[in-house]
Amino acid sequence: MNILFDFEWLMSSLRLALPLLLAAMGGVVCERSGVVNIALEGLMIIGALAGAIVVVATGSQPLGLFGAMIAGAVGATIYAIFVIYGRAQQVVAGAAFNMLAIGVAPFVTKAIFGISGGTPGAEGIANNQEFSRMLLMGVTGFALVVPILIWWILERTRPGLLLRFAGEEPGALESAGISPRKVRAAAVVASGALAGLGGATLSVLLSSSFARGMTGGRGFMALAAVIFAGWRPIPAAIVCLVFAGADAAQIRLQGSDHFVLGFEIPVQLIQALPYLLTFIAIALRSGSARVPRYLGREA
Amino acid sequence: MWQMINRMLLAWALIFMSAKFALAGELNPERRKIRVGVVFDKGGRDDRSFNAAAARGLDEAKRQLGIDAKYVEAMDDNAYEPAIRTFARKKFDLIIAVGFGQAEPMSRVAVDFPEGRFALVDAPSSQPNVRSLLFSDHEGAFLAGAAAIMKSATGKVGFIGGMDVPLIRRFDLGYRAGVRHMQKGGTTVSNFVGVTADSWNNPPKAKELALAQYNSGVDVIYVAAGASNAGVFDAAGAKSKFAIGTDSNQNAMRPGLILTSILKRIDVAVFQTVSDVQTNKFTGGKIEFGIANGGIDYAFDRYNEGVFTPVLRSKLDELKRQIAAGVIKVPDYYVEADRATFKK
Repeated sequence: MNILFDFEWLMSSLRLALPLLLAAMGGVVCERSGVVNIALEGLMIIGALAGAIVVVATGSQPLGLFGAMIAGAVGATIYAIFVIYGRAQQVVAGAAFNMLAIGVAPFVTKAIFGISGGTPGAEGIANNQEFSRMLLMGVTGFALVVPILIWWILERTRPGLLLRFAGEEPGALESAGISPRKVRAAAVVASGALAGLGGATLSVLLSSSFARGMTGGRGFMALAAVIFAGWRPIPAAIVCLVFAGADAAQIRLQGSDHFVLGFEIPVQLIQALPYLLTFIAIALRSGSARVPRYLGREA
Repeated sequence: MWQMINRMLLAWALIFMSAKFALAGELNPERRKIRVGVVFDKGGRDDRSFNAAAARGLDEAKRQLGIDAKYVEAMDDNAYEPAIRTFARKKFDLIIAVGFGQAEPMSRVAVDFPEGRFALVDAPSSQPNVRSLLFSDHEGAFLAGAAAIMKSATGKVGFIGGMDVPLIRRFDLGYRAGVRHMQKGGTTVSNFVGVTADSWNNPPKAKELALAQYNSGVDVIYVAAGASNAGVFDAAGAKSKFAIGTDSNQNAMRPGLILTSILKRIDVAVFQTVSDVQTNKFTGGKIEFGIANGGIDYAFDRYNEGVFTPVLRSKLDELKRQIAAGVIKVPDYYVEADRATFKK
């Protein structure tokens, strides 16, 4: 076997990190405002679906990504209405939202394309390899800057301060004459746009069509990263990169046979590595995590 | 008001009845208007691969035999049995389950409905009223391996399977045998998308695996991963390397880069079974489809004519004849002895 951690591994890690990173940032923004976001997975599905549909319709990947952000924001708006104004229990509403997204996707593709398995492959992407490579690089760069940007907004700007207050001490906002609910709603919608974009990277940049179930739990992994990182954007991004790095290593390890002390490592164990890592990470961390005080509580 | 509604209902009923009679009149009197229920597995009817092949057979039967067909796409493992049972309870004339994962649920329902007629794609069943439609996938994979290594410039070819299950290991073993048959020193790299049913629907992951293989010097990849196949074809496009499709003809998904597709004629098997039920010739038991009876084949059309050269084709045709005649015995993962003798 060649060297495991080389340039190819790095690129593979970045590609795999892309959807996780964007969704995790959505998670940070949402949860810091005090709203639990189990719905990340569903928002990613909506983004992946909308992105693929727009690409098929227009032949343009950037438009697809943009459409996915809008779709994610719209989906999050529905979620916000239920949990912030309808006062639905946030975990339950989030789980319901995920199920809704899973169910709606085949319905939509069936209605538009007549196939319930996914969307047809987009011709435009196949014919323009060079452009899609550049776009992938651009979006990856953007995804790496977003955590820093969010850190800066949260810690250094007034909107960020309001957002943190909505999650820590909504009463103080209220007495200052600002509606914590509005702040939270804005945060949820922004998180929807980010998660939607994250989902769309799967169907628009990393492959060329939507397939049912293609998010494969990435929303939950992103959420795990957020919790493990103590709701801080930059550590959350690093955790996502570590997850992706493990996944990329796993993919490369699979290709050859591995023996440790004379025993062959089963491929299933290698494949379980990223999930195992997630589990261990959460278990180690959760004791000392600094939870936003009003997370999951009504404002 | 009520009178009007009643009149409308009566009118509708009349329209429906006349439409039914009109349809029945068109049909061949020997052909009964039978009802067929199909349960697709998680890949979904339009996976453009495995389920799609069964769907084509159903559509063909609908067109030619004038049957009434309903289908269900199971969203998870627990949905198989209720779906099959519902069809059975509604007394459908034939119920077809597509995919090895439905073997147990179908057997359970078949016991409860001894009058029902069932067909199961890709798995054996011991129930007398179940017809098992089995395919010699290893023979097709052998052809894929032979084609891949002949096309390869590096002497290194890849296999990407969907879920790591015996069925897909069977593809893998046949493929390796094909590679070795054509070139003793040929190397095969094998990867699986995952160990859960999500593996059939994970194109980004399949693409990553394919990119890793191509980067390690592999230049032809045979992929058997349902809807995840699209990811491998994307990688082939990005790297301008070759891929080989499975089950349905996938040549058109990346014209010029998909060397060929190994066809599993589930459509023929499904059509045949529907036709047998209609003419009261249905029997239970196993039916094997392989290269010898045309159940397994390779695809050649205008999308791959530029890369799938006459030399390649004539060699594959020769291999097909040899396999059909029993001259070449392709190792079968399902046979314990074959698995043991064919070690790396």
